[in-house]
Amino acid sequence: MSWVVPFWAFSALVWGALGLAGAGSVALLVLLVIDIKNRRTW
Amino acid sequence: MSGETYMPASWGYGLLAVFGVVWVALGIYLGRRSRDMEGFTVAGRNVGLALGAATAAATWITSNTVMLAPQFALQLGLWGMLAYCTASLGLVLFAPLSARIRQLMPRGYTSAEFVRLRYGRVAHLVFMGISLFYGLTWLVSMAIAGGVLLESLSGIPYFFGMSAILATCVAYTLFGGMFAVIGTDFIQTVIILAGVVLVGFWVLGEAPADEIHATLLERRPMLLDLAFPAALMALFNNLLFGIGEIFHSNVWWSRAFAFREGVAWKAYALAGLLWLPIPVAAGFLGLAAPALGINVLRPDTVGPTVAAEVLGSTGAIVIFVVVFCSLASSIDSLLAATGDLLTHEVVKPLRPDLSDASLRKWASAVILGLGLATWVACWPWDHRAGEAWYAGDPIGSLATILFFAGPLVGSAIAPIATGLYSRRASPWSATAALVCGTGAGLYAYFEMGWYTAALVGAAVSVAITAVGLALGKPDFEWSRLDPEAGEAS
Repeated sequence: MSWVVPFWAFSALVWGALGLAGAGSVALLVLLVIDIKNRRTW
Repeated sequence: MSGETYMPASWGYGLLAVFGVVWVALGIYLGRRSRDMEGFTVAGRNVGLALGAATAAATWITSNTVMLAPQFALQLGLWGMLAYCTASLGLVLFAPLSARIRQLMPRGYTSAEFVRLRYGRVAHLVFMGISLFYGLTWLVSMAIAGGVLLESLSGIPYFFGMSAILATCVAYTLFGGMFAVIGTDFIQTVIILAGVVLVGFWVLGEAPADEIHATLLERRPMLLDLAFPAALMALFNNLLFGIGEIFHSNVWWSRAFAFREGVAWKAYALAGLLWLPIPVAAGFLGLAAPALGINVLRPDTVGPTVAAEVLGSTGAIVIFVVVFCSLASSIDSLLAATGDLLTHEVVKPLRPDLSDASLRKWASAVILGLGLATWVACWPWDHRAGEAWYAGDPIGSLATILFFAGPLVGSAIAPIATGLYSRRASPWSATAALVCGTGAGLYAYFEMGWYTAALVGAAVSVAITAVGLALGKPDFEWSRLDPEAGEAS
């Protein structure tokens, strides 16, 4: 039995992972700015 | 070790010096708030969402995540990366538990304290054994990985690299406690995420996704096959190992105690989301190797090999920094959390008369002692005999040792989860679940293979816990988890 992943799924996986990781780093910085503004950093 | 490195040793020494100075300076600066035990061990219990999510994600991104994911992809294909991704579920599933922990134990410090108050002394003793074995194994394996990886990336001798990274982490944790750990974790998370994305985009520029896919289809189609049996076993084992690690370890409980009220749930869920793409974003470098025509001699360093081949010395520097940050973010957390465990569960019961200030000094001494003990354990003793014990496949050997802890932590999942939610969970069933789960899991480790150990340990533990819940009485008073509430009021 063989279920080979098609190109579109492979591409979506790789680009999706890179996009999510990139968005994550930006989201963290935005959240930190919001926390600093609201004096809720720690 | 291979004699080939990815950058001159002088660059490695320079980067080590820069990061060492920056992290220790940050530790001293952030440590101004760590004067009492509350500040030193749980950062004042007021950590917000940004720092909270980042510290949970950073601690879970170890050097294994960035180094082992490409190796898994190269050897087990797509499932290898996806199996690794399931570890993020541990963070997501811990999110509701962390909120419950914060609610039930607003003045708590450690996971072992919960087991002592919830299940009594015998279960506490077994749990401490599991926790300390796991914590020390992880700590030692991270420090050894630090020495091995810095040597393989830049040619810095193992002993120097291991000592430097350990000394840096001990220094800033000692000066700044949990404030320093959480503060540096934030910066380390951003660096790791940005570094992985940078290298990923760069590699895709050289070897587009269609080229990687076509090459794999032609030369190694099994790596794209979703019905790859060995990889499927690894998927479930990794999932349970990851959940067990997070549910029981004080590394994660201490953060739940440190987060501001209402933040723990969101922080852990967000951390899971931040962590989820890392094994794929870092792991696909392993799949890109055939398309780039790279002959991989050592699968455990396929990530840096691909990055350095494609990006040259810039890629090697980025990988060095990402690996350094991944190691530091885990070592500092382990030092702090294992130190808390020993201070609160060993020192405090032996010296109940200690003031807060004295206990704070003890906490520092324990961290220093832990650092020294780790350093001695990582000493390359066998070098004198000609070859180090980890020679050959060092990262693989470390992973195997760490997987030995799989059944131990897998057996803790059910007692922890049910102990937090059910009044029926009883001391005898929790103790039996921990002991029998560990025993059965270790039997599976030796008789069936490492990839079944956590699975078997967790299954036996769940079965015993289920019997305990069926037979137990719903008589546990939740207020017993916060004994100081009565004293405070």
